[in-house]
Amino acid sequence: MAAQMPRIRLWRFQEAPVRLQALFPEGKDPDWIASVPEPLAAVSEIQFLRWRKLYPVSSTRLPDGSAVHWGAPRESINRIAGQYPSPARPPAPVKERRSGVRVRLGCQARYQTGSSGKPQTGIGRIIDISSSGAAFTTDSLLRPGTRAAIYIPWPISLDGDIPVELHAAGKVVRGEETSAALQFDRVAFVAAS
Amino acid sequence: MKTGERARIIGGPFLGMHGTVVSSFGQRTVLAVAFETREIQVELAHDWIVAATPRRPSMSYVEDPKQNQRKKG
Repeated sequence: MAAQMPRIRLWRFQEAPVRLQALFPEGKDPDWIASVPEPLAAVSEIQFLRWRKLYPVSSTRLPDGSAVHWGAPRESINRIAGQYPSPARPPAPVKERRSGVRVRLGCQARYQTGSSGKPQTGIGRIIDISSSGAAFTTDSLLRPGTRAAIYIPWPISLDGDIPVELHAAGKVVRGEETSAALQFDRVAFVAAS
Repeated sequence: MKTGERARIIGGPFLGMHGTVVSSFGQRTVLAVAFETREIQVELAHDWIVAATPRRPSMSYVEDPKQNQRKKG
């Protein structure tokens, strides 16, 4: 029988084996965990560590020579928080859905909404963003309850000055003629190719 | 996705990379990914991959991941 090729295993934090989760007590979803067998540990390390400029990545070696990496993209907002002003809290009667750090990013972003049959795309400007959602200007009304995604050029590049975009998707929770708020349920960084 | 199909990774530390489906089991998929000068195998959740498409994100990203999981199930 042929030997199995060494394989890198990736999980969402909560789906990883408990013994690997235990190595990173601060971990929680939407973090990720990677288990890398010894033959691939050195060659693949850069693939994990390149995210360190955007969010915390921690690594450890096990006695068998394999490596385990943990990344926490949810912390990416905190990484840039010091560079941008925080928006004022809304007055008391307005319900604030988002918790955690909010950043007035002010950059342009693309957005897309609708189902596969009727996509609607536009260009807006990020009013503010947190790890759980964003408010942004729109070309037209985005109806509350619809699914949408937003693509934001991130102010920090990967090593080698490779630009990255934050891709976030979720539900529109507030929609007006020229602005909308999106509550995220998916967030990922993508290196621009 | 079927064995031999091209896929793009949309979650985790390898996101943005492309690979070829080698096998699937349960909710996991194994991709062969070109990495520097060699090919490596990467095992990850089904919903961290989509069929490879041009660079612009596909609508599958906009759609509700929970609904997608129900479709697959």
